[in-house]
Amino acid sequence: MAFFKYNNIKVAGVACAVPKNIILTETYKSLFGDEEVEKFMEMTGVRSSHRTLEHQTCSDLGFRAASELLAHKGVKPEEIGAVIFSSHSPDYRRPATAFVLQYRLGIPKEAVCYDISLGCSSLVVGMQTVASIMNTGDIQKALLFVGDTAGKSVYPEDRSSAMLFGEAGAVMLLEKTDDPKDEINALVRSDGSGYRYMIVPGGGYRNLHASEDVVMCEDGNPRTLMNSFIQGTSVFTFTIFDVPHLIKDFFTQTETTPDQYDCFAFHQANLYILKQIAKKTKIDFDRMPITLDRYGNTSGASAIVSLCDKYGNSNENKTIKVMACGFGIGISLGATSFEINTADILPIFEDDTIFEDGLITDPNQLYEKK
Amino acid sequence: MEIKEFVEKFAECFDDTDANVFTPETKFRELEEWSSMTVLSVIAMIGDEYDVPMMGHDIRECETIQDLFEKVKSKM
Repeated sequence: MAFFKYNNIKVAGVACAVPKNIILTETYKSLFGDEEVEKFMEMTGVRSSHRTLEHQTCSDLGFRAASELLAHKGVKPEEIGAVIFSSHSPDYRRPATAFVLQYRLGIPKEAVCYDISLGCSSLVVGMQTVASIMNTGDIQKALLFVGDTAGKSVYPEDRSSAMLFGEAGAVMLLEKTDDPKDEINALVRSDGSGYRYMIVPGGGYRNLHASEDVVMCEDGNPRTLMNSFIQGTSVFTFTIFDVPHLIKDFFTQTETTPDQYDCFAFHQANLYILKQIAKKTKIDFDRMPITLDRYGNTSGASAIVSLCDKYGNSNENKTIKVMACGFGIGISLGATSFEINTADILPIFEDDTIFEDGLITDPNQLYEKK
Repeated sequence: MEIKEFVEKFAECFDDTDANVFTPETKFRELEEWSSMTVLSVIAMIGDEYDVPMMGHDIRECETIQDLFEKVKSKM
């Protein structure tokens, strides 16, 4: 169920950007103690991560990535027929961030634009959505934006999450082609019984004006209702049971084997989890690029961040077969496969540009004539 | 499955604690090395050896290694 196969659609390029500010994980030793931080680094693999400025968003990072990718491909904004922003870190509570990106990039009114509310699985589920739009409509080129600024929702003294997340914005350009051998496969699953496992419980319309009092939680970490909660043990169990199961089913559905893939661009959850998944699915760990060490867990952007890190600076011009896998908040999980030319994988850009026009700090800014 | 074997495999999840410390009656939360990270090793071990998914609440309901053993058995 929920297996998709699209022909005549290809991944024409990927790009990503990260903020310039680097936080070294070891600097948390003064807050959490040497032993705790050392163990955390050993298990998760996170030794540093890039963090956004106060008013910098993942759409700012996605904007830079998309500008670079369109320039590299020689694609004009007028050619883009769909803009989908798949993320849990929108610029505003409303409207959808896809419209802000459409406006900034100069994409015409004829385009379809909307957001998908997803975190770590945003790339694979987003690809399934965009490919479906293209498959049934007349759109020739589409942009899929992914990424999060997850760290902004973490209480700074929460040991379970404060050191884990990095921030990034990424983009994928999808194109319709005349070649039926251009193929994208996707297998998507969801488990709503785990909606509480990863959650920001306040600030939504269930509890819009939630208390911002700091509460010492049962797991020994302080948080408010406006912070993100992760029930690590239950999430871990899901990742080592459901994710390998999904991957094995993907191989069966696509009639492929692990050795047929050049690269496993997997969500960078944490190193221990990735090793567990590789072991259980007989995937060669050496073909799974790792960026957790320098960029942290960059949520939905992480698969593209890893592709850009591995291939972005190579001068090779060859087509590789990629399997991408995303899993997390929802609970949502999925796998996709596609081919991409390494020349269309851009290097990681560093950027701290903020869309100043989009920052409303005084309501009367909205009444200014532009 | 045998409790003796389960205790041995449980002990293998720990790096610094002497294997002789572990008995069925061991209250695992009182071990100095017990942490949010060792619990993941235990969950991974139970997954590998017994193919049983242990959720956070399953672990929370247990106090001793014997309790965990019974919990795993009940879910097999």
